[in-house]
Amino acid sequence: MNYKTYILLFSTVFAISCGGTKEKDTTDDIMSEVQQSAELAMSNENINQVIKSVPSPLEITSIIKETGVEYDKGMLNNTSNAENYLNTFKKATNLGVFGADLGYINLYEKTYTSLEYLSTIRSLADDLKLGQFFDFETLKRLSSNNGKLDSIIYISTSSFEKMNNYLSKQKRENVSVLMLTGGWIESMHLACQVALKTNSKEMMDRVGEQKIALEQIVILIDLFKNDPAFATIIKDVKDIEKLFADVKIVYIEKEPVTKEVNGMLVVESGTESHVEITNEQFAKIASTITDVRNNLIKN
Amino acid sequence: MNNVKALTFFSIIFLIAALEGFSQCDNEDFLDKCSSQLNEFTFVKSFESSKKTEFSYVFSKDHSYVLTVCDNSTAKGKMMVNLYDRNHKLITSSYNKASKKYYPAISYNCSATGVYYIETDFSDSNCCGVSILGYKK
Repeated sequence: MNYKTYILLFSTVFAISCGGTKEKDTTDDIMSEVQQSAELAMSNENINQVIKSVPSPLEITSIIKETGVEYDKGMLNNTSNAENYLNTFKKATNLGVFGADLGYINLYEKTYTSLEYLSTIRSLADDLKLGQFFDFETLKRLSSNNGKLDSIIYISTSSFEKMNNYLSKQKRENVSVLMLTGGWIESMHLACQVALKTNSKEMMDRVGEQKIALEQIVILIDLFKNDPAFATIIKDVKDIEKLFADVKIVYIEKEPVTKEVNGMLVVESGTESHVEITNEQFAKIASTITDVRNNLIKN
Repeated sequence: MNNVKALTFFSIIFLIAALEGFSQCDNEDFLDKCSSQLNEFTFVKSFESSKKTEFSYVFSKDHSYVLTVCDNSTAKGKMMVNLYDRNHKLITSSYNKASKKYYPAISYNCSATGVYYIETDFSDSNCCGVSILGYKK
């Protein structure tokens, strides 16, 4: 081997070593369907950080279970719809929708249904070239053996996080934003349906508090305002935002209290927040959320 | 010939260093190990960094959160996590400057929904780590 051959060998090895760990680079032909905007008003790193700031749908669905309301599969998107999602927009938004549904199903420990939704999620993730991040076999084994709920939730949630990290590296944040928006709308749909069923003031307040998460989502989808594929979802989300305009979150400022407990710092938040949302405001929000969500899941 | 040997040697050293760098904090095993510190909290997000970085997350009222501090134990430096409220006012830090003590986790019982800021920082530049956010109702 001559000197140039060594340089070539070195360059190749270096390129491979810097390419990541278990992730596979794939030719992204699906980007022809939903185009990444040529110039975004925010760096990829910052977009990923705003994506991370949006609350997990699991947090919203866990409040549903706390109300004591019974599990209702009828509120979820039917997995049979998935085969009719033919473009990247539908696949990405409904991957988020099914992800939120999976969180709800897992919290109620419905093993059989969980496997059905996992299978659908894997199929959509594969279509979006994200299947490699979803450890379907482990999840299937855990679900089939009534495995530890914490493990199932951890693997499911971290799989979605790995997908988002990968999409960020691939500069495909548009797909991440669609997944995130789909997941948020589905979790809001579930929360609103439960609030309507139970007439729970706590659920209504929790829906009202989502005004803050919505502000983050608006920042994200606005980045893609020049992409025609985003036109409808931007309009829908902004319609929801208008309804939240009169919902108020009031803060009473107090100092936090910090103490050490068993070697860990434990902080009691001093500041309190209160939501001001009327029944009429909530009814309008719930109705619009349902309309938007039903449009998202339809074929 | 000596040049070729030297180039090969440095190539191997560089490759090992590059792979080591990635394997420290940017891999699934490290994340899985760190997430085991969550105990009764449910995994929400992970914030991975190798320099001073600010993340944010919307905390919800009546939820308890934990932020674990999980750094690369083979490095000299230590990772610290600072938690700020929606006005960017410091709530607490996993590093107590007065006692020079590093805490492995921060638990925060939230009574105000809002955007909170999570800042990761390191005492040494050759360090990396991940802070994992978990919650419970």
